[in-house]
Amino acid sequence: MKLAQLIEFLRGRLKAVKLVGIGLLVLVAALGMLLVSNEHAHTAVEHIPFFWSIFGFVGCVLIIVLSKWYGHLGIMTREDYYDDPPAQLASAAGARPSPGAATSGSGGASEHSKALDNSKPAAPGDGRAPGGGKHD
Amino acid sequence: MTDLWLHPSLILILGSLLLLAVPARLKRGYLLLIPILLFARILTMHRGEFGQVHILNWTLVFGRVDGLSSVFGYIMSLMCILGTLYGLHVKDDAQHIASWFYVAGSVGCIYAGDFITLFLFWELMAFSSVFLIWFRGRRESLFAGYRYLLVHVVGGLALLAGMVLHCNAPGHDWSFNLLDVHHPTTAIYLIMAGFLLNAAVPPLHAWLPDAYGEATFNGSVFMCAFTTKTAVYALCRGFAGMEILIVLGVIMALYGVVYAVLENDCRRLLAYHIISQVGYMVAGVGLGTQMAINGACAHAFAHILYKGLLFMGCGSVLYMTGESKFTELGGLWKKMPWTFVFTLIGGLSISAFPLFSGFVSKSMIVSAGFEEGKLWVGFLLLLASAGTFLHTGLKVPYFIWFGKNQPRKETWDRAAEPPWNMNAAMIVASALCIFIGCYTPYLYKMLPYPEVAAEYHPYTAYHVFETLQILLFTGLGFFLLLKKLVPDPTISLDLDWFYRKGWRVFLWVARKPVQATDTLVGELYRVAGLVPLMLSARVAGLFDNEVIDGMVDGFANSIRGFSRRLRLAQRGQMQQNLAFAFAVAAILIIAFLWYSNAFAR
Repeated sequence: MKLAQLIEFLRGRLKAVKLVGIGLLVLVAALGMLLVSNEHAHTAVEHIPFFWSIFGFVGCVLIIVLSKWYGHLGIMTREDYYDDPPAQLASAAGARPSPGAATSGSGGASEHSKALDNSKPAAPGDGRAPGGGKHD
Repeated sequence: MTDLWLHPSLILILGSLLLLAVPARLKRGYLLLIPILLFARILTMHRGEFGQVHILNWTLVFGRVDGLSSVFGYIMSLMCILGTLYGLHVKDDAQHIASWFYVAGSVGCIYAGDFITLFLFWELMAFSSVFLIWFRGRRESLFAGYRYLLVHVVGGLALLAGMVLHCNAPGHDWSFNLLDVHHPTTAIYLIMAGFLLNAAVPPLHAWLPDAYGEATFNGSVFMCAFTTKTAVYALCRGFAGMEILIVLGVIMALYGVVYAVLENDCRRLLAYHIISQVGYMVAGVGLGTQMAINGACAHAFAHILYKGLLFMGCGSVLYMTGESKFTELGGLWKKMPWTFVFTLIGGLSISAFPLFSGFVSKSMIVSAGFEEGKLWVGFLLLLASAGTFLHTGLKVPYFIWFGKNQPRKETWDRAAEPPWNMNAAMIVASALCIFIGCYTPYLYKMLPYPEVAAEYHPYTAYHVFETLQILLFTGLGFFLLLKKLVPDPTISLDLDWFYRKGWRVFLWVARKPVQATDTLVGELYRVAGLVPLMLSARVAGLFDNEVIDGMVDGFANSIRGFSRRLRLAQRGQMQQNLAFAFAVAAILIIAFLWYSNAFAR
């Protein structure tokens, strides 16, 4: 577990790590400005000082703010949104109840959900740790 | 041209049938052997057209080996090794069989030289991969699987309709080559729709996060590699230079980024970033220059490896803890530090950090965009790559392995490093990601236009500093706005809403107007039709009683005896019955092709 110790060591010195990070930012921006020639630039705007640094930062902020705004328009919704028990679905699917069906833990699941569920109890390699029970 | 040309997919199909007969102690070796044989077969294939089968009026070409198909065949078979290694400890044979059939479908599509062969393998892919979702065994995965299947059947039908219209038009045959992208017909649009659905191009994309977030921990590792990249191959082959793909690709690249901000499930987040990354490839195909096609292929190659690696990392977390939601995870660095490192390598690769694989592949497409004079393409794709680093490089590792959130005690207790084979697969994938990023000729020599690729140099000082500035300042933005990025326990509505909630509208229509009409028609029918019918029925009844019953009873008795035996043979699980039916159908089709070919000679 040497790697975990290294991470612990760094976490213990969070301030120093932050300082190094900021130093790196300044260094990259400064070197990019001072040493690297612009002859490979694709467009004229890239001759603005620190263009790509500004691009990265503003781009990141825009992505976060606009996406969150979009999400709060009603796109982000409660987790059981699709789980409403569709009573008609069970009869439409012609499901036959299977004995010993695994119970589904999600809220609002009723009779039909058991019928449609896979009756295999905790199949190996179903994405769950061995020995662990099902919980949604 | 030799008659003994061994189709690589055949290795997997026969291999999976024999898997059932392999004794348990040899199973692990056998599981590794078959994908390695596949890889070796693909490495030893010569260029040319092989496996031609004449059937009815068609010439099927099972093996068109050229520059484009070789690079995709190479990476698909390599990924098959990694994916199988990752799931090596899974005891359920059916899961391995499903994933091998799935890879066989993908490889078959890649080497297909005509539309019919392409379509057969295309459907094989859809029908085998759905089991990778179902095998998770949750109620949600059952529904997600059916949705996945239905959506892909629709895409397959569009493809089929387009193929039939296109190939029956005068002057066309069934061979699958570059289509006339500058004068597209309805048929060409239909074929494109079929391809775009598999490539998850909005608005035909919602199946992807739905399915990949719900598949088994190792099923998603396979799924993230094959379906979308086979579609990218098909687009490269048939639609290079189709202008509309540039716009669609750029929209895709940004669309995935926006949804990744909102996503709380790490595997769904990665799935949205597949959409984003495939956007680069689709835009590359749309640009259509030799450099852009090279870029699309190189990016598909690199993407399969790093996205596989990312799904392996998040799959390990899911497998060990049972959780994949950020709100249920946090601080795992103490328990799974190596998984963190591997996932971070995947994250740095997808973000195109210098010395990692994305850097040498993604930039080809961006440069091609700038060189074509389409500045907006270049800038928007660079913006999307800032978003990629923001989520896959920062959000995923931070909120799983660090963050302020404390997982529940049982999650915490279960967390540990995954089994050795999962680690081994992640080590190999990480090593390849770094190797590709450091030693460019390995990838560049494999591309369809190697001479163009040889002239491209990603490691110029300007490019390195441009990338570093974008990425590091994105990182600054991430840490400054960390509070805004803390995931909420929500889901995000996407266009799958229309078929997940839209059925209510359908039901309402069925219940109210349609039922009312039905009742009315029924009443009319009863008055006008039923009374005369009863009369004639009485006459027919006499005949029926005397003559027909005797015959039918004997027939029914024999059917009942047969079905009683059949009932004992089947085990009542719908998925298994379907798996069995699909396997039998696949074998029948192959046998039919084989025999008809033998008779044709």
